[in-house]
Amino acid sequence: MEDLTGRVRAALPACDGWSARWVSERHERVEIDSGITKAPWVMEDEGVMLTVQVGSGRGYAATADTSPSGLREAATRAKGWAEHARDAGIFDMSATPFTAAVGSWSGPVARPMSDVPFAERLALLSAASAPIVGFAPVVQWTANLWSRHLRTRLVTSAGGDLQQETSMVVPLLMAFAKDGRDTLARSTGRHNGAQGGWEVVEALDLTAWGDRLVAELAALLEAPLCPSGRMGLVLAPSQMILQIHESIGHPLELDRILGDERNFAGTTFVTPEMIGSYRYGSEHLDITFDPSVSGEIASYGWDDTGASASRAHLIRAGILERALGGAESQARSGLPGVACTRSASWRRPAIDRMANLNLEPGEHTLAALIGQVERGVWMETNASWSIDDRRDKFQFGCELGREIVDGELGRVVRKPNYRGRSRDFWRSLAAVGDRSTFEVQGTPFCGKGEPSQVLPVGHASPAARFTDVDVFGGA
Amino acid sequence: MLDRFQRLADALFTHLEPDERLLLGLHGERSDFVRYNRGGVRQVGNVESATLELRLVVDGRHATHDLLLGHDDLARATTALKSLRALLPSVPQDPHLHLPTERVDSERRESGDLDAHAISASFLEGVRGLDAVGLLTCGPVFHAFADSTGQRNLFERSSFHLDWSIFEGGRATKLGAAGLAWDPALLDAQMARFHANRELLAAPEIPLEPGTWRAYLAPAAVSALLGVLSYSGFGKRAWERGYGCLARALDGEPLSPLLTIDERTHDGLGAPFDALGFTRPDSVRLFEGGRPVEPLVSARSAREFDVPGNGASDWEHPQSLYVHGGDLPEDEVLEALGDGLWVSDLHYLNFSDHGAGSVTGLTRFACFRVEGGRIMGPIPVMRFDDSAFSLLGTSLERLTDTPRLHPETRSYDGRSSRSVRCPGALVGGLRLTL
Repeated sequence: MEDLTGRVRAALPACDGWSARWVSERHERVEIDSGITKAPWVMEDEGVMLTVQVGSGRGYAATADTSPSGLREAATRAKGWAEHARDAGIFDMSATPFTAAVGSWSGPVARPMSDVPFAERLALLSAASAPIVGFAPVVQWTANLWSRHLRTRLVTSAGGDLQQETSMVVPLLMAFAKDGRDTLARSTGRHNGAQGGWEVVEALDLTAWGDRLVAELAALLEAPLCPSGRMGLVLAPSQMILQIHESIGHPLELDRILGDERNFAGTTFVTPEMIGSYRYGSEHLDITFDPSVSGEIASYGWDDTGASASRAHLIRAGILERALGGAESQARSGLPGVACTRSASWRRPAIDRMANLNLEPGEHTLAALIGQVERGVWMETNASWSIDDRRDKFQFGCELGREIVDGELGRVVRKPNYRGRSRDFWRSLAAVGDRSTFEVQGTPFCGKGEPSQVLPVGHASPAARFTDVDVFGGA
Repeated sequence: MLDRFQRLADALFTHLEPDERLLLGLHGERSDFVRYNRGGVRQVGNVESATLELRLVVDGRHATHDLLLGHDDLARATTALKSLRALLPSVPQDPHLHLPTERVDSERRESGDLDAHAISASFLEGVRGLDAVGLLTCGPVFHAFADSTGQRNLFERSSFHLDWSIFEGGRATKLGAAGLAWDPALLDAQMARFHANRELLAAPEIPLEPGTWRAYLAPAAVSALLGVLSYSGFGKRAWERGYGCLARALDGEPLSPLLTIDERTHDGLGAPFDALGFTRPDSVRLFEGGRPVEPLVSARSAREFDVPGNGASDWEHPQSLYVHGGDLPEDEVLEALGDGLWVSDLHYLNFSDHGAGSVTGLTRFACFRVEGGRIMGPIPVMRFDDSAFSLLGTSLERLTDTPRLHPETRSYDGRSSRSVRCPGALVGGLRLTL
């Protein structure tokens, strides 16, 4: 947006500081639903969040009306709420000054989606889904491509001016097959989002996935239920993404530790005293916050308050070193964090969020990981996830499992599930796969906050092996 | 906002070619959000947002373009219309496209006089000295529809919703108040609930082992269970193709005969029309006596399966679910439960076996061990994994006599108008696993 600073300055009433965060998004979706091409969808979303400081309080007003009068009215509303926060706020917001940083950052794009005609996108989805169309047990399927082009600009009363631009693509191929009274699903996984353009879609090789889905659905339809009992478990990156997300990412959010989320998303078993010394997992557990991985879905140069983002270890050799919290939460708690105060859109204030949260690779090939298991199950592609409001007792289900017997992958099993408790589980991490098993994944659907916000988070992970896990087959 | 939408629609329709049909939708809000923690204000502000949806239809082809209203609206909408016009020749004809053939206009405006600053001040006074955390949402939401063939539907509802909990010693009581007008008595009633729970929550925690427990699921817990079942349990497409979570109900395995479920638009909080301009009936009987009656039918399903639609969204999720009450007075629940668990709320539900209707999740907020009809003390957070065909089927013993309203608190794509009104459920067995 041209002259955002000038426009905002002209609109502001007297105040002690301000920021304006302009966000412009363009979403596009092409979808084939069980053989029928659905109406293509485009969304253009653009607006500004003004934040005004009065004494120790800050209030915001979000508007898509960026005319002089629109901004003036928004600024007046923001100031009114800032005064309310000044009188009843739980924290002196002047302790976290508005950023003075200036710069620009953009994510990678080889072939922008805007250069890919609708017909080309549709042709790929048609080709990818062709094998599914001919597979009789399938009762419902979808092939879709969702893309987003995002531009943001943050200007502040301190002279800050940051511009960022990213593109994101999320492909999905998914089919449900019916077997008597049972329904089985197989998909590319709902977490294949990445920054970039058409090259992201090509890298996933959707056409090959179409054949693979049919072959694996056929195997699942013939497969026995996953065995039950305590046993070894080897997880593919396509399940590790959710395990990391739910039982490491969310528990480490500083705003949960500070109690902000207790009424909605929940709290955490992690306490401030644990930072710096707590054994979160085995010595094989190395977790990094890394917004610098090119192409990972939540890479950025600065967070939405203008804090410069860089790689940091959260957990090193199993010991918790720092939490996931931005400048506000760091000031409130006195604890170390990272640049992760993020917002889902111009309509929502920034809060502590994951960005890219990755498990660093170890030294084992996949064959070695499997070879170490006497009796267990291999699971891939998350299907179900649930965890308590302290982020402790979890249960996950996957689309596909394979028995492991005496170090060898065996038959396919259906409806594999496992459950456990966060601390015990991560302490049972026995081996981590090497770079050859490493995959970068990303979900566009991480939700939390009041009012609610959903935004992309990335998780890169190798395969990993756990011991003595409570595994079971669905009903 | 609605008047602005109408003027914009009038102007846009003059840009149409003779063979074109344009459907316009509007979804907007003017919302104040006050977020609380530790009995004070954590974050506070206002959001004004209005999304215009354009759907251009030509010769059985259609495409949609959404844009934010704010400035230069007609010029930007006209540009969007041109881009849709350019795209349509490459879009295949949609055999499931189904549009209204009869014009049904409607208008409903429920505009309250709400002052979010005053409500927040009143709330802060009411929870002074307590560890209260939650959210006040206040202001109007707008939904509208305009068809170039003439139909207009307008909906505005101004309301507030206070959704909060009060924590003491790591345990919480969940509270809530909502309505079209603020009344301090609403807050007083909720605080009375908190004080009644306070002593019970302060008692030592009673350890609990996994296993099957007799339980009372309070209305909030039943609402959470119905929320996850709504994902695929009530739609025509899922019923026809057999992949829904309640598919077995169509296959000779009914839910409890105590269970009658409606989609009651007239009793809910949402607009009585869908995105294509179809009118939602006041009520649709989904299940009666545990047996499926009529599914939610979107316009697309209506065309695909050649049945009448009933204004359901493309996803065929309920908007205003209503579960009929039973014969158990709320003040007799403890006595009827006898020995078991009082489950106030459930958290993070998901399917453990979608096709079997099996759901896992966790207890949340004030949940108690009950012995001899008396609350003995709070229980730890426990995971359950059980089938809807048990909890709402073979294990369901009684339903309370007064269905309670639970407005959807999530606002990912703007403020939700979804709600569930349901009673509490006394079940003979709830399977706890962790």
